[in-house]
Amino acid sequence: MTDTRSKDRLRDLVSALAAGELDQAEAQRVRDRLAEDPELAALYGEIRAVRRGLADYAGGAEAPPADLRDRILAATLPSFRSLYVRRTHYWPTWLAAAAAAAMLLFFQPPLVRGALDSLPRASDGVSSLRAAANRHTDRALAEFGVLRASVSFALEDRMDQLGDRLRDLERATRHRDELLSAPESDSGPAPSNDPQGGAAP
Amino acid sequence: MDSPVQISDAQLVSQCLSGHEDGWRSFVDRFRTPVWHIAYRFTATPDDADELTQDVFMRLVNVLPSYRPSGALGAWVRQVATNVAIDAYRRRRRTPVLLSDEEIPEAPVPAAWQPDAIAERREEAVRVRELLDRLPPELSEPLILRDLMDCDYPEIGERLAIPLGTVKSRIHRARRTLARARRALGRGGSAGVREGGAH
Repeated sequence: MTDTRSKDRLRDLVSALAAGELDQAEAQRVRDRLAEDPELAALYGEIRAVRRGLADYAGGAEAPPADLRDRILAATLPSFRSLYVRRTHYWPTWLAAAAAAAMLLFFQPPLVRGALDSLPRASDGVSSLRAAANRHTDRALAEFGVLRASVSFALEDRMDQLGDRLRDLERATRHRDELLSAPESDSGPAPSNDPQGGAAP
Repeated sequence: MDSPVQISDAQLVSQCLSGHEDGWRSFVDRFRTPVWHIAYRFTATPDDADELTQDVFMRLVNVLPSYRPSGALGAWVRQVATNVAIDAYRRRRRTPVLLSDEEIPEAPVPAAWQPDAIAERREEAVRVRELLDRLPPELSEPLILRDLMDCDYPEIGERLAIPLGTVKSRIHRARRTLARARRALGRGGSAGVREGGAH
């Protein structure tokens, strides 16, 4: 058993020698053994031949075929487009500023908020709109996580979010106007929202 | 023809992630040759290498957001390509293994065989590569990474999730088994030499 193990060890050293993986002293010791053992010497020659064959194989690869580029692009562009190419909205600065101001007006003043909270159906409507806005925001954030490496895209994404918020704001404003213009005694069912701002799941 | 001014790795990835198709085309231009060479080492024919290269770029499209600019893009692409190639190699190798060091019968040492002509050397290289595919995967995978991909031992251990000592012993066994099989084929036979006492 010990003899077999030491023979295996010696064969491993022959393999390492053929691959140039031994230090000088160890390589010399193995070469001395090769001089005494024709079977080991034959193994050494065969392993070197195998390594040369593999090196020739690796080195024999000249270049990929000329049409490979087209084939790669044909295979990958559909996925690339679905993952990374998006519609682009370039909102004018004045529109973004107006949207931000309108959002502040709608969400911040206690007077407006208090008035909405005092109306049961208005409260429902606001919750629904907020839930819808949260869904939009969550989705936008998830997509943004994929694209965070791109500063330019981050800017574009924020503009998209702002656009979504603006649309929500327009809906909310319309809805608020409807609620404020309705008689306070009305306790009937709440008016239905548009499909995009529908009930929270 | 590539643009004379090459943009940085981070800029290239940024362009791709921003959805610029020209960025992706530049990415493919920059890396298709090194990826193809990796694929070629893991496959036995150029056609298979072409197909594997396309698979690698399909994976790259999907994992591109996971690239971090702290590392070199080329090294990252190489790593992804190698992982895809190993996966593909394993799938392909679910066919029966024809060579193992236990199964190869004894054969005498042939006379020295040193083909001179380039064509013969090329033929010999393809023959050795084909023999490599007939080894059990636990032997052929580390040998491909070591002798065809020039990976160092720790990297191979990490990539294949096996200890360093096991990496070394498997590579040595793979070389010995290939050597003996080649010797048998060199005689015009279909077998090689038993690996006495190997386990």
